[in-house]
Amino acid sequence: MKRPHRTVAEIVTVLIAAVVAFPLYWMVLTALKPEGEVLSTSPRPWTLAPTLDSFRRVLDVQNFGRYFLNSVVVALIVVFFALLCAFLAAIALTRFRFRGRTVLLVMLLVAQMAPVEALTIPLFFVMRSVGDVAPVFGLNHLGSLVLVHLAFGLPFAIWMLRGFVAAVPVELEEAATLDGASRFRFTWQVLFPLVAPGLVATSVLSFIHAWNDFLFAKTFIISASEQQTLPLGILAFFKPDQNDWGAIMAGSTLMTIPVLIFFVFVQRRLVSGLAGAVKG
Amino acid sequence: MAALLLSPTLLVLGLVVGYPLLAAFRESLYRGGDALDADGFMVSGDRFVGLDNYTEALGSRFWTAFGNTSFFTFTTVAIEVVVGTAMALVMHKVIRGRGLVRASILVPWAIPTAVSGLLWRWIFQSDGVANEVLATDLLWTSDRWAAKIAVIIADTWKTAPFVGLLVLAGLQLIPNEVNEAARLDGAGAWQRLWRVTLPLVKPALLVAVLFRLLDALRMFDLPFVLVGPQKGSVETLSMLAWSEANQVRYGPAAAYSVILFLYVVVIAFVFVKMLGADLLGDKRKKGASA
Repeated sequence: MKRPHRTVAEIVTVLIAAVVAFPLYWMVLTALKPEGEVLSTSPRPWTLAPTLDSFRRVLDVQNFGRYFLNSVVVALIVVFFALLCAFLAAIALTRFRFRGRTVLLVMLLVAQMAPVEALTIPLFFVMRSVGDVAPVFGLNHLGSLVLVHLAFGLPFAIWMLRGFVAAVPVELEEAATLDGASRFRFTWQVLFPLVAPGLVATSVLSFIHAWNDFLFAKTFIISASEQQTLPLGILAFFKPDQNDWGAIMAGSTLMTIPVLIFFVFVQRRLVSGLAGAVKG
Repeated sequence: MAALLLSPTLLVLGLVVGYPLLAAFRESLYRGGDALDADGFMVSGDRFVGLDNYTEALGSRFWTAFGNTSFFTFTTVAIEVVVGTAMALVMHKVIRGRGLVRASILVPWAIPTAVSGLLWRWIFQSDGVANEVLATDLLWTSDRWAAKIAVIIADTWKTAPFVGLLVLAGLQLIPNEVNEAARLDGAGAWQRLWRVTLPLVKPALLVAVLFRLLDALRMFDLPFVLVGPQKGSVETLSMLAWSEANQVRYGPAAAYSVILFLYVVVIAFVFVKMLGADLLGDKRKKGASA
């Protein structure tokens, strides 16, 4: 009885996966095509002469490696602090009862509604003032990017982790206290491993969020070209007369690889992680 | 103690979200530049203009952007819910090559928006592969409706997997016995889907829809990269506010931001009220015990 259903499901899945994957295939294919074929007006879905020329042109851009490294550094720092802040906040919001707790939860949701791009200019002035106090977080420094991405990723991260922390029974904490464990020790040795799936899901979301950015990098990093991030490196291939699509697609491919690596590693845990959040 | 744990979060959010929002509210009531006052004297710097920025903001460009924002939000979220749920149901069934299939369906969501914007712009070139495959001769990025459709296709491709991911997570929480019991009671596959599975994943789906709504209403990068700034056919409210600010018209730009923010808040409020998404988690318990 069950077999034919499953086969149908599998065929449908393969079809969906093919449709979904086609644009990606096209991206990599364009990156590998020789220049003449990229410009051809009747594109073919294959190439007989794959070449790494486009990749070479991308890597030859001055500072490309540096841009890449900057993007990775920003994303990883954002992930670290997002996990730390969200974990602590989630504990506060589930384990403590205090006045204004519900209000705070709603405020977090409202923070998620702030029109980020529309606030670029006020943020620009904030970062300029912050830079006067702490230069690391000011304009032209990667710290400014870390700060904005941290802020815009946090509300969702806290909402998600809240479910995980709430799912750990309070009795466990009482037992640990009876056994003489300090609050810090309980948090670190019991709670932390138990909410690990949630932390994985949170880290993926924060990483992708930070990696996505191009507007803030474009706005905040004005004069320090060695502090630029990856998307700006790709924008160099847009020219008024003729865009170098081979190089643009090669750059896009390079930019996609780190997310994919990160993603494939944590993909399975991500689904179970989100399951916990949804249940919470 | 709770305050201590919350302080890093509140500090960052206050600085990066709270303050700029308040600044935008204030800015929306002022106008920069020089002007003559009632006595004919030059006044320089910021002037308080009350709601003038708002009344002037409500021109045809605003309504176009407002229409685009609403149109994109409702069409993309509706399509993504259907496609995403279908993806999740299929992904849930598959046994062989599960990891690979899942990864490949979910990958578009992990791809940076700027990259997917570029990718689709390349596909929708006038001599690009989209026209080749469909055997059409459309100018995807300059024709009004074609540009809208291009944005919707690209957005669906990118975010339907996100909905799928959350629904899949919800599906995995349904014990197998539930479906099995319904089957033994004589429910057909279709009935089981509508009467058992979908009601059980509803909470997961509502969370997904809410967060998609919040995101879609603020849509910016995708049309910006795919079609370009200041194109009436796809300009959203976020893009409008950004381009005003970019032309140093801070007052009107702030007014647009505030309007957009209020629009998002209203939609979210209506959504939570109407569908009764029990997001705060403790409301229901209170209601049940009372």
